[in-house]
Amino acid sequence: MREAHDPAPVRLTVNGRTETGRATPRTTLADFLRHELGLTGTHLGCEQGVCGACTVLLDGQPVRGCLTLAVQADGARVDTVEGLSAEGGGDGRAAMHPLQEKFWEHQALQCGFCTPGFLMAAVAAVREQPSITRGQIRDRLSGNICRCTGYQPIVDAVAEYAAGLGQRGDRPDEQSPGPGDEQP
Amino acid sequence: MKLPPFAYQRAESLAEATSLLAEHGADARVLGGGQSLLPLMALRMSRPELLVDITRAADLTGYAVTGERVVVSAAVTARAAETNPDIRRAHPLLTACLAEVGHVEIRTRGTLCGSVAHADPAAELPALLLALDGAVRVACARRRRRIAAADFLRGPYLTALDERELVAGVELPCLSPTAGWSVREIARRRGDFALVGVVTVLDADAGGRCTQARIALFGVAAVPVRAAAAERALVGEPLSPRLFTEAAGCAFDGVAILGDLHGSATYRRRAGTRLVQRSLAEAAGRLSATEAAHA
Amino acid sequence: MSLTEGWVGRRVRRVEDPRILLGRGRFADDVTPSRCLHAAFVRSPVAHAAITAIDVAAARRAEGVHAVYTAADVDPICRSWKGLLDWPGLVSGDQRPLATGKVHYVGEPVAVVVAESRALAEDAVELVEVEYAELAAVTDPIRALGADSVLVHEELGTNLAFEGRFGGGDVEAAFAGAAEVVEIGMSTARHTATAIEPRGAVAEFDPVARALTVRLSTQAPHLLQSTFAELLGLRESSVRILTDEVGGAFGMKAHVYPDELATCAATILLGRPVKWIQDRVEALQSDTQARDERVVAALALAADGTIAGMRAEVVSDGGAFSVYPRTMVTEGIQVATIMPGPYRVPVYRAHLRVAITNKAPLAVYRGVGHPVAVLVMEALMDEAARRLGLDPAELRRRNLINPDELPFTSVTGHVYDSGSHQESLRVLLRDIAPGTLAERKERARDRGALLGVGLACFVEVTAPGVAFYGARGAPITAHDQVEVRMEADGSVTVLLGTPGQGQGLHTTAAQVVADHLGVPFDRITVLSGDTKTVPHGTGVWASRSAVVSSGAAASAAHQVRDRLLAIAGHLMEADPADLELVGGEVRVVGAPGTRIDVGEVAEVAHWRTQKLPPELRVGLSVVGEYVGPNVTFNNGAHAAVVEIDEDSGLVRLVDYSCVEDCGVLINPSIVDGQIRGGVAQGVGGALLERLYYDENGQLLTSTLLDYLLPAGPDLPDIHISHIETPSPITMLGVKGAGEAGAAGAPAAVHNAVNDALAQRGARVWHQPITPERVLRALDEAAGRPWPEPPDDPTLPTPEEAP
Repeated sequence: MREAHDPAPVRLTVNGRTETGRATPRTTLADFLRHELGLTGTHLGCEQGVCGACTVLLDGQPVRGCLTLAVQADGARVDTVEGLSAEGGGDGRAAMHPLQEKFWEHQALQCGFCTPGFLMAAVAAVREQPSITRGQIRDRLSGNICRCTGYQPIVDAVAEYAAGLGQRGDRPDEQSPGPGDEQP
Repeated sequence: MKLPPFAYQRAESLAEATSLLAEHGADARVLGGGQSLLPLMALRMSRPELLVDITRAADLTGYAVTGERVVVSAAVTARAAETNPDIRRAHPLLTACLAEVGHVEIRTRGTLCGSVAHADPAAELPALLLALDGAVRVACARRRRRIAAADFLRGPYLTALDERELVAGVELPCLSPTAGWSVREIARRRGDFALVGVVTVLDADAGGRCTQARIALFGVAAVPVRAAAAERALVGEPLSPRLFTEAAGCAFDGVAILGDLHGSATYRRRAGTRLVQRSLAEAAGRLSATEAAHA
Repeated sequence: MSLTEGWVGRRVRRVEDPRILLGRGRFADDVTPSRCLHAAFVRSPVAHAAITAIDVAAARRAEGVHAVYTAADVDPICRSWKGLLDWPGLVSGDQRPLATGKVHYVGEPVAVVVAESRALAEDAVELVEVEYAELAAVTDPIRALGADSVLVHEELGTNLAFEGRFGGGDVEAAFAGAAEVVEIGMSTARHTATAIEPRGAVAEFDPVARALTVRLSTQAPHLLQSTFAELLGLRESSVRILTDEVGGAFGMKAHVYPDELATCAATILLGRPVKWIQDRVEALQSDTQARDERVVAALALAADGTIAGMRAEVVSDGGAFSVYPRTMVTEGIQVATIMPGPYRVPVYRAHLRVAITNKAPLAVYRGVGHPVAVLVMEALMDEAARRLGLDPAELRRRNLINPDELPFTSVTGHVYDSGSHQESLRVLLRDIAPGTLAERKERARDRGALLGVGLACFVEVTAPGVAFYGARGAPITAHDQVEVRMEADGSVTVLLGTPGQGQGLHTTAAQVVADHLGVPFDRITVLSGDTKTVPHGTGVWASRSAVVSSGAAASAAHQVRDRLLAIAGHLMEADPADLELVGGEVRVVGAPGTRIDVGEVAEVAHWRTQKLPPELRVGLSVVGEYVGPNVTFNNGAHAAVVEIDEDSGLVRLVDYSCVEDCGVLINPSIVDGQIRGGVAQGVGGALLERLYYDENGQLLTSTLLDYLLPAGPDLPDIHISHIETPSPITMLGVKGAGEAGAAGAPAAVHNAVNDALAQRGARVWHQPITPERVLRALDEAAGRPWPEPPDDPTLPTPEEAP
């Protein structure tokens, strides 16, 4: 049993790398990523599972980082916004993920606080449904709230990303980070 | 808005989970997907001392599909069930109901059994269970029991579970091959809890006479309720749009409708009546092998 | 140099975005100093009560707790404040970091716990015992103004915070002689900005230097530097406010907040860094709120639809305090003075009363009064068109200001410097193809749906100058400053006095500097948000930043360019008047072969000044400032198409079009983003958002499950057409654009709903337009009354003619 006030080790494979930290049972996955592992790209907008800013992939599935306990994720694979791009390519530059490029191109962010959650939810959505339509994108991302953009540029970016994958004939999961398309 | 402190134990099996519940009683809560429990805890409206995590209990991760029913164990997430081809084939109504639950990112963690155990009066799955006269498989350290849906759902967030029991599985009877179904709800936004919702199953003989009507309303009363008067009005009658209007007109008879800030009781009754009417028409449209399918 | 070939006007990708997209943004909660402690607040659970006792002993003993402070601890080091400007007669209770003696709204901070972690602080919050002697809550702003009402602040002797009359002319004569009089009563619901990043503060105090550094999620760093220094008794040069990324603000993060000052007080008292990050319940309870307005208004019209006169009665629910510095009355005053909008309204009288109630303070939120003013005016226009049997567009055309009438002084004294009021409507009608709408309505009815189209024409006050607030005594001005600095390699650093919260100000500043200095866009780095580094600015508000930042940046760029050309003149042995700086090269005009890279010039100016005459000014760092008019007005027109499901009353927005004229466009993509985001917020207000206080002043919408924000499926794609009528009075012809979407959308959506409902003889008058309100209106119009009265706000009774 993990006692309420005793931080105990939690081991995750985050963005393909094994990370170990300590957490009390009440520490959410989002707080663990942010404050224990220093991965502050995942944001907390409501801590009630409504806004979607904290969305990360847990064993390949999009989940609310605020409604998942770090101890529940012990041993699991977690992918965050920091893992989308190829960090440390050796030339001192970060190569954006194609979806990040599309977000940049379409100005699918303004303040950017909700953006990491949208990116992770959209990566999962397109992986599951490569031929996703604009209407389906709006529906599928309905669990993510953006207060700045009015959503249209986000839809543009995701639709173009999905279409681009189709045109290149790539399998979408080859474009997305670490996790494969493991289904429960 | 951080969670209050609690101890945590991952149960590797149903037996381990029930034994922990036996030991800790009311101080312990079962943690499934946590999508309802954790928000309540974050608001400090619930503060168990121990969470027993059953999501990786090996004997709770399965499901069984027979011609008669679909049985889903406690650790199966809504999203896993929703995307499962066996379940979709055997029970398209279940799949349709699951797609209405919250958002994908909630369904990837939330479980069917957790939703039933949470007994939110506006939730889809308890209503489905009630509509189908399904049952809840309940376990504690000493015994297993099976509780009919109508007996299990006692009130808002209130069930027949005692503090040492957990929902180990739910049994959802399959529809007859000829039956038609519908799940519809009115919500302010996609994924919101229903202001009023209805699960409908209709069956008819070859002549289009109604042989079975199951109508469960959710989001309107303290618990999901069967629209008994409407069901009675349908059975034995030839299905027709006029009959649907008549049945819908009495769907809320005897239902103690509750209003809240999103919709008054009158709204729920009036919009709900028309929703039931549409739902009946939709279910009739899905009837196979009867003329009523084209009513 | 021709600006049309430059960077201004181009859809440049934003320089802000890559770091955010890569997860490397730095929001307030992303930085934690060493030895940082964490704060959580005990907040009032009741709307109105006397505090009879506070027992913090158990909380102080709790695990991980370093301190628990109440007003008794904090009041000695922090003065009280209130926002009054110098509006004649405006009164307010004093605000303090923590409640002293009495609580006035649910969520008011009462005590602060500082502990090793936020979770431990929240645990201890539950151990603080506060005894409240509850008082009746004042929740209805109209009843609050009655003589028998309980008082929110006894010392004021009234719940009337402010009363004003606006307009002029013989309104009674206009109404007496009118062919038609149309009167309506409407309300908009209290909502809140709901930035997705909650507020937060990370405060550190150096007790030796008595220096306070606060990392803050704010839109007005310099204002808070001044205010924090004054309230906490510190030298202003010892207070430093830091912001990097700010996750949305929309006017809500432009105020002095008790919890942020309490966090500063805690770090001063403890000597350890203290972080407070607001959670969503706190945000919904204690962020400033907005749009709580009730209006009864009437138009007097001639038989041909010409407006002869107008009157409006406005009651504004101001909440418990008048916040500093923008007060609780700005919204109501804007409602009253903007209402005549882009129309010729010859005579007008508005009577405004702002009530004090037991709710969170009302202040400014994107659009500040415009959404309400435009809603009422445009609903009146549609109702008048129905009454007169005129096409709604035609009625508007007959009353919109014509180009030859500009500049136009409105009946409330606003001067519209320029605009395209008729042209905006013409372009809008082209975009929405109104000829197809009758057929669409018919096809919708076949599906059991009611389709409606709504128009809204508007003007918007933008970029207020020094006189707007400053003349009323607030530390809010418009001489924002920008420093442009050329580095030794010819790259450029731009320091903005005005920080961004997602608007892309770094990008637009770089575009302006690129053109006005003459260097490539990608050589420019823009910084903002550190009051100890950047020059002075008064923050981001009132659609001003593009105007003031671009003006100040251009001014600084010109000065740096002149110095560079003077230096280059020596190096190239040419008259500086014959030189130009283009694309990072200094060239001799007319001899394009003779050129040197600006980097060479800058290198000399930094490190080889022996090559230059001693009297030459070599400093390549210059601060420019904005000099501009009191305001400039943008204008535009919106159209919404909705479908209503007659069975459920649900409204679905199916089409949306905007025409926007915000003068010179620096970056059209950024303007598009501002408009779409503003429309989304306006649609939220029209259809979804309502902070629901019950009759006891309890806030029932304290999570985002109950306070409904629009999500992707709630909005259609939004079509935008731009018209560019440069402002003749701002430095670059730019007008603000940040609030126009929010200003027009509630009206366009509301009119579309009523256009749909009018097919059944029904209307709705209150926002949000819930399915319940729609279904009730349809039922009642069809002779199926509902048993209980509607949950609609009471409306004010128009004042007798004075």
